[in-house]
Parts: sequence; structure tokens; C-alpha cells
Amino acid sequence: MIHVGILRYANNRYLWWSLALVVVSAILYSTQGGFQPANGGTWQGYVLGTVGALLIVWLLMLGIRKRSYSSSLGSVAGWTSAHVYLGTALLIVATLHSAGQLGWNVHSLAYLMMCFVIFSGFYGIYTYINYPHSMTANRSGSSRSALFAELFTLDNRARELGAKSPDDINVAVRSAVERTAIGGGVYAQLVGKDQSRFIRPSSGADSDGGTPVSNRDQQPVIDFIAGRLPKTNKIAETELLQELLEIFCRRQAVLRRVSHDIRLRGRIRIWLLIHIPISVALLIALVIHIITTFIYW
Amino acid sequence: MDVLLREIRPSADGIAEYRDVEVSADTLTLGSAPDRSIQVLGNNVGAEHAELVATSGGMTIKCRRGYSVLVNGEELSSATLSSGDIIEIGGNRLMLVDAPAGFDHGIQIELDQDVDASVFEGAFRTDLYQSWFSMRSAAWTMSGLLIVLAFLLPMFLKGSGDGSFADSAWIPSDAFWTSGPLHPAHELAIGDDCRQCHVQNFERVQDAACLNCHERINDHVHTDTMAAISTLEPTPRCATCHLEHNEPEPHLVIRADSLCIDCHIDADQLSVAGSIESVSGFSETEHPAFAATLLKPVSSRAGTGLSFEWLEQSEAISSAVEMSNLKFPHDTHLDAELVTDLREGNPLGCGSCHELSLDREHFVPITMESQCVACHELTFDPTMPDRLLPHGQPVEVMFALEGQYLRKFSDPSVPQEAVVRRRIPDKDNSTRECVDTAFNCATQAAAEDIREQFTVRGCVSCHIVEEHADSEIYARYQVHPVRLATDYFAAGRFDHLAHQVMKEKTGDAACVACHGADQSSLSTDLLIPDIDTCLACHSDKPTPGRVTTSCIDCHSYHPFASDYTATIETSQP
Repeated sequence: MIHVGILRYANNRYLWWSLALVVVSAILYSTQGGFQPANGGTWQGYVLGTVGALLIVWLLMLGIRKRSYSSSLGSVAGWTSAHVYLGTALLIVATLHSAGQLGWNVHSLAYLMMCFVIFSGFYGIYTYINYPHSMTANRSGSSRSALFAELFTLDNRARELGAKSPDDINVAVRSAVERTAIGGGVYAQLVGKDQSRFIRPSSGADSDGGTPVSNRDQQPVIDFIAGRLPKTNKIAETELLQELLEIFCRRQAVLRRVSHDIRLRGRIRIWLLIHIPISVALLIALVIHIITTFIYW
Repeated sequence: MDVLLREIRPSADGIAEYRDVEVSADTLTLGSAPDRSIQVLGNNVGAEHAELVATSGGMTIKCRRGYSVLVNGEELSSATLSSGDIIEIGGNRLMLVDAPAGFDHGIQIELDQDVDASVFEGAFRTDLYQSWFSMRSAAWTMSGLLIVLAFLLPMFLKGSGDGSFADSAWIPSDAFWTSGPLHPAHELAIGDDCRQCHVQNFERVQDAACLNCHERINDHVHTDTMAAISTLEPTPRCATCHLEHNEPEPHLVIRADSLCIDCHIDADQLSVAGSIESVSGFSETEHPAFAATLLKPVSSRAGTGLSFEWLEQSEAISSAVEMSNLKFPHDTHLDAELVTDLREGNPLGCGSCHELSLDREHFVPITMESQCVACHELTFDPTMPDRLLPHGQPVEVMFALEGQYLRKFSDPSVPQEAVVRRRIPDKDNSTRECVDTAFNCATQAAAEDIREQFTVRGCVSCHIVEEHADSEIYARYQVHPVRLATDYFAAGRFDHLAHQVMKEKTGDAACVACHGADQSSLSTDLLIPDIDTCLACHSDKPTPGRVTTSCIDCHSYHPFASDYTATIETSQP
């Protein structure tokens, strides 16, 4: 699997590189002390800071490497593996550079932004390891497009059947199909409740009024059709309603998978929406950190 | 406004079917999202594609940025519509019709019946990348905020200090660039005014910034006697040793020995070569043995007697001899069998005579009047026990003794016999008989007493007395002056109070442990410890059983400006 391949790339080569970097940094850090406290201002602090800054710049270059398909600078998988391990090492290198000193200043801001980027990356690794499997299981091996195609077919069939049904059923069926909410904004995709609605006809078969009500998980419209079933006395109409009922139950199953798929893919991507912009801003913060350090040398 | 939406769709039998929806709203939304007023699916139809705004005369259509529609076959992003106008959007047709009775507007909708599943899927926003959140704009926004708030505003607006709006609290200042808290004293004096010290951009803090306030600090060496430190290379800056923002170190002084040793490791390379020795640490081999500053009396003949001059002289402790001209056996005075306090009867201790100064290093100078006289009284007339011989004034002593005998020999109320027969201890009374005039008898008796005082039992007990036998009586005895050194290590410092408790030794035992006064019978013994005494308990490197000591625990980079060194300074021509 690709996601595991990144972590175990080339026999954990970059894991060992990173461990070596961490050990060397820790040794360098420990040579501070005595009468001069450890901080970013000692020569060891400057070395650790330089290493950290170069790491940040290199880690950001993954974004460039990914887009340059003709590059001969190693495979993207190798880069990604090194990105993961060296990014983790950066957390320790930068912490040693700062000697754990935090304050209300641009330096700590850069450090916290870096932590945010790295921890969002950790979450990203977690999702890459766990979610692809859940997503495949949720879709039962098929694709999202296949789910939508099935939904589209079911919708069209529901519309057809609705057109042949009594008006109240037709209103309910059409509105349920049209007002089925799938996805939406960031919040809706990740945690939002199902905002689907349908127009529940007031009462009576020939009523032309109705009220839009929640159709969460499609259960209300199923309940409505099922509730109408005993009130029909024509066999054709009963068969129609039974098929509609079946269609909506299948729609419900498909929609559950679709929304779960959207939620999982959202989780797999949301960290990138944080990881990438903040890492770009981190580069700016890093430059300000370095410039201001030397403006007020 | 009320709008009638009439959807027309062909049915299997070729007869169009109608479906009417009534909407009461001024704005109708158009797009592929399910929550739109009119949901249209198709290629290139956005989730929130356009808005139809109802006006009194007709309607206007306004597309979102990046989208367009065909209005009567013309591609537009916004248009004013009237009855009969046709909007085409992704294969769907919308036509404004004359408002039906009871409505303000009417729209006839013909939806594309050939929408396939892929278009259907595209109607929903199912990916985070389709949301309003754009990584690019987020990155730009954050970067821009950082550049403006964390760099440009502090750099160019703040610090102008003209009291304008730039100084308002909400504008981030260059204090946001601090790399750690200031020393509390500097925080109090400077606060957030970074420019007090950071005068020039990209330039390290210059000494001038420090000396603005610390104007009375002494340079490393005395500029009037030696070349200034500034002639050395590389030039140490104040900040070489005094690091600000040096979290978490609470002190401003870097105590690293290397700061001293880097230069002092090779004394020959120093501008003061020859006058000091090389130092590379604090051990027998790395640090020179101690040399004490002693006072040396130099006498020269002046008239009938001697004239004394005191020279300061640095000598190795191992060979140095105390030359105070005072006779004082420390061992006798510390022996409880031999000496006790006259008033209380207690044995004497170090503190009986040596009173620590407030600086915790030096001692209050010892004088006859404040320390010795409590036991060594200078009474001379048993009948008048309150009268004392004037200490330190030999001629006055002689006058006092003469006066005493003159009064006794010439006082008619005193029987001559009693005077003549006055018993003198240890003397044969017969020699005291006098048959001369009262004046002659008195001067003879006084001369004898003066001789005894200066050569047998009085002054001579503690002082060196030079006898010039040929001289007249007042010039016959010369007492060598006494000078006790007050500071043996002018360039070093030592906290006596802190050393009052040393391992298991406390109080006088601690004093004696280093100074060995209880074993000293001669006042020529120099009771100042050498480096080995310090090394018994101290080391320059962390060592078990030793206290770690750095250069500046005993030495000061900036010369002291105390009274003790001031005397040396002022003695310079």
C-alpha cells in the first residue's frame, strides 16, 4: 500500500537519517550550559536554528517537487518519506534551538506555527494510514461516481413513479429528490447534519398545499410513503407506492454511503487545507524571525 | 414579490406537463445546488451560479464571479430582463413571461432532460476543494498579515516616537521582536523602548548605549597606569560579558571563565606583559600562587633618629613576611589558659579584635584604643587610675611621667618620706632615695621610669623601640611606627561571612582553618592563606566534594572603586 510505503520507504532510510539528526542536535544542545544558558543565541543555538531554517525551506519544496513531473531529484515517494521523517525531526531541532523558551513575540509565533504545521502533518499521516481502508470498505469496492450514478438512476426512477402517483405523493417524492442535500461547505462536509428537506403535503390526497420539513437521512419521506400505503385501495397504486418505497430505501442506503464517503475524504483533506497555507505563512514568519533577530542584533 | 415558476417537461405521450411553484421572494437563486430557488443541472453550471432579482418593471440577472449565462443567445454575466427574454444555462432554458394574474412575475422553465450522472454528481459540492476556502488565499492572507503586523508596522511606524497615532497601543510595536525578557532593572528603566540600546539596524549594541547610563563604571585596567583595554584585539564589547534578553539566566553577567582566560592564558601577549602571570584555570598548575600586597617599612636616618616610609610590595605568600613593626603573638592571645577577657573572664576569640566590615571582605582597622586597651591599660599613676599615658606620642608620654614625679616631689601635702620611699615593684627601694632638690629628684625618678617604660615593660612589650643612648632624654627612645595592612588582595574579593561555615567548621574554627592563628607565635608570620587552602574546597570545574568557582567569584573585570583601592589610586603621582 502506498501510504505504508511512504513510511517504510527504502528500509526506513529517512527514519534513520532523522534519528541521526535528532541525536546530533541533542548532543550539540547539551554542549551548551555551564554559566551561559542554552538558548538561540549561543553558537550551538545558531547552528540548530540554521539547520531548522534549511529544513523548513526544504520541507516546503515538496510542493514544488510534486509539481515538477520531469524532475530527476529522486522519486516523489522518497521525497514524501523524507518529508515526513525530517519534518518530525524539525520539531525537535527547533525546540532545541528555542531551548523551550516561549514569549509574546514573533519568534514564538513562528515556532507555534511550525508546531501547528507539523502536528497537522501528523494528523495527515494518521488519515493516510487509516482512512483509505475505511473509504474503500464504505463504498464496497465501487467508486464515488458509481454511487452517484446509482443515485441518479434512482432519482430519475423516483421522479417517473412520482409523476404517475397521486399529487400529494408526487409533491413529496419530487421535493425529496430535489432537496436532497449532499456535501456543501467545509462544515457541512466534515460535521454538518443532513439538511435534506421535503414538502410534506398537508393532508388528503388532493391537497395542493404542504410544508417543507426536515428529511434527515431520508427517513421522514420513507415514513410518509409507508404511511400512505394502507390508505390506498387500488392495486396499481399500491404497487407504485411499494416500488417508490423500495427506491427510497435504496436511495437512503446510497446516500448514507455517499455522505460517509464525503466525510472521510473531507477528513483526509482538511489537514492539508491547514498544513499548506500555514506552512507558506510559516516561511514568511521564519524570514521575519531571522531579519528581526539581526535588526536588533 | 410573488413569482410563479412553471416547469414544463415533455411526457412520454408528447404532451407537455406543467408543474407550478409559487415563490414569494425578491431574489431567486439559480444554480446546481439543491438549496437553490431554481435548481438547474448541466455542464458548467455552478453550485451558486446566478441570482435573479425581481424589480417593478422586470427582473435582472447577476452571475457570480467567473460564471455567465446566455441571454437571448448573448453571453453575459449580468443583464436586465423583460418579458420574452430567454436565459440559457447549461442546456436549460428559462423564459420570462407576462406575469400571470395574482403574480408579479412569471418564469417558464424547461430543464435539460438529458442530464447524465456525471453532471448530476457535479451539482453537489462533495470535495473540500470546492468550498469557499482557498488554500492560496489563506496563505496570502496570513503571509500579508504577518508582513504588515509583525514587520512593517513595527519597523516603520513604531519607534518614530512622535506621539502620533503610530504610538497607539493597538499598533504592534517592535517589542513584538523581543527575544526574551529584559533584566528587571533594565525593564524598569527602558521598558519597551528597544531603540535605547538598538540604535542602528543590523548593528550589534554598542558600548556607548550602555555608558549612557553606566557612566561611572571603571574600565578593565586603570587607564592612567596601563594601556586601555580598547587597544587590545579583539575588542571586548560590554555585551561580550553582559548579555541581555538572555533567558533564563537572571543575571546580566556571563560567568564563563573562558571570557577571562581567552586573553589571560598567555600574559606575554597582553599589553601589560611582565606585570601579570598567565592563567588558564583555577588549580595549582593553571593559576599562579597568590601574592599578597604587603606594607614594607623603609627607614632612613633623619637627624638624630630614623624616618620611616611605607612601601606597598607584592610578594609570594610562601616567602612573604609580615612587617607591621608590631609584636603580637596570636597563639598566646587565643590560649584560654593564658589570656582571658579582663571584664568577663572569657577566652578571647577572633572576633574579640577582628570586626568584619560591611563589605564582608575586609575588617575594621585595628587600633590600640579600640582593641588592645581593654586589657592593656596605659595607667601609670596608682593614685590616679583614670589617667592614661597618651598612646602614640612618645614625647607626651615622657612629659606625663615627668609631670607626675614633679607633682609628687613638690607637693607639700605629700610626705617626702612617702615619696622617697615609694615602693616600685621589682626595684630595690634604696636606689630610689633622693636627697636633692625636688625638681632634680623628680627628673631623675622620671628618667628612670621613662627608661623602664620604653625598654623594659611598657611600650616595648608591643613595639620595637630604638634607643639613641647619646641623645637627650626626649630624643633617646624612638618607637618604630606600626602599619597594619588592610587589604592583602586588592584585586581579589572574598566573602568572610560566607566562609563562616565551612564544611563541619564554623565560627573561629573556620577562621583558624585557613589563617592558622592559633599556631602563630610571631607577628612576622603572614597569616594569609595561599591558593592550596582555597583549592582544598574549590575547583573551577564541577568536582565532587568541591565548590565550583569561576574567575569572577574572586576577581572583578571592572576595578573596584572602594575605599581600599582608592588609597592605592590616590598614591599615584
